[in-house]
Amino acid sequence: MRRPCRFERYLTAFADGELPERLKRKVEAHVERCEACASELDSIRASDRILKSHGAPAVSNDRWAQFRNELKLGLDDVDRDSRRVARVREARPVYAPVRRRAYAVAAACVVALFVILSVGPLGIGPWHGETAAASNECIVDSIESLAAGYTPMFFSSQDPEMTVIWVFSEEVEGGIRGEGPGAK
Amino acid sequence: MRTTVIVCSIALLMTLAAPASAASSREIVVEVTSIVAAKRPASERGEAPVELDPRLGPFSKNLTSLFAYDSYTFLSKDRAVVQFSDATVFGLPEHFSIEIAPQQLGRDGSDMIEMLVTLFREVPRGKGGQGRATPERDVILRTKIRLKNGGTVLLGGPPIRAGVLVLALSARG
Ligand SMILES: [Zn+2]
Repeated sequence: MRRPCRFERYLTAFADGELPERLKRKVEAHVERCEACASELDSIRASDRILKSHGAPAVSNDRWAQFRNELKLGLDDVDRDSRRVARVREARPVYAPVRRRAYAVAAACVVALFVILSVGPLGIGPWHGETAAASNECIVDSIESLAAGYTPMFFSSQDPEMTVIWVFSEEVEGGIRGEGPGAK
Repeated sequence: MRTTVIVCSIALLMTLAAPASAASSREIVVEVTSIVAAKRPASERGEAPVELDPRLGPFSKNLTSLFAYDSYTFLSKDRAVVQFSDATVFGLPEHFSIEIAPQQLGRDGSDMIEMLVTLFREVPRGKGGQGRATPERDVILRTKIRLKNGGTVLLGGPPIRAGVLVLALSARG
């Protein structure tokens, strides 16, 4: 556990050899005596090695397309009849773009529905039958992103029992624009 | 008489045990495992199996069945004891950090840990300047969750240089 050091922001550029000479020397000297930055630099360099061995990062387009499509279907359900309770299937994405106003209201409904389905109307009891003592049960009460270009969602699966909170980034999503519900 | 003594002893033990467990729930242990998930270029994909870092053992089943990446690499693991009135920040790769603020454990007699989780990305302001201004932090994600005591939740999605950052967040009270 540590708090970010003010030199951290230069480390990526430092690893890439992109810093001006004077700043480069400063960072170099700092890394010598700052354990946090030294380990951060290690992790950046480890990332670089992985990057080199695997090529450019990408995500499974099929997966995202399917994910977003299911989301759209869920939202359409809510749009059509906000009182109708959408069925929650396994690994179904259940949150919506916070930034995109068109979806914001529907998103709130989906989340509300999910919470109701998750914890029951009285807020008690697990949302899917019995759970083992050391289960990964997780209830998401609220979720949002305050930064431009990020869209948070969550989904749950039963086998393995796991909740995934995923932040979609426009940077990563670029590849599937034109297929998903947000397509222009 | 003997029955009365036994019943009283059990009652006494229960009253003694109750405050003890309440006292121990003033703090929780939080563990954050950072993982990088990546895809191979289409040309190299073929039939090659998913590459799993052996240090990700406990999460391997979850990762491979929930996501469709070609490799999962362990980056770091941090652990902290966090008080219920407090928040802890874990530094993550590439300007990301995550703040965990536990709120309560065992509301309504459940075994759930309630916490506020915030994922930040430090944004250097004024590109080209010498960075005198304090960098600002974007709130990439803010979520309030109730996690089963001892359970794990996966958070992910932000792109980093080597792929996508995935965090396994576990908490135990
Ligand atoms: Zn430092």
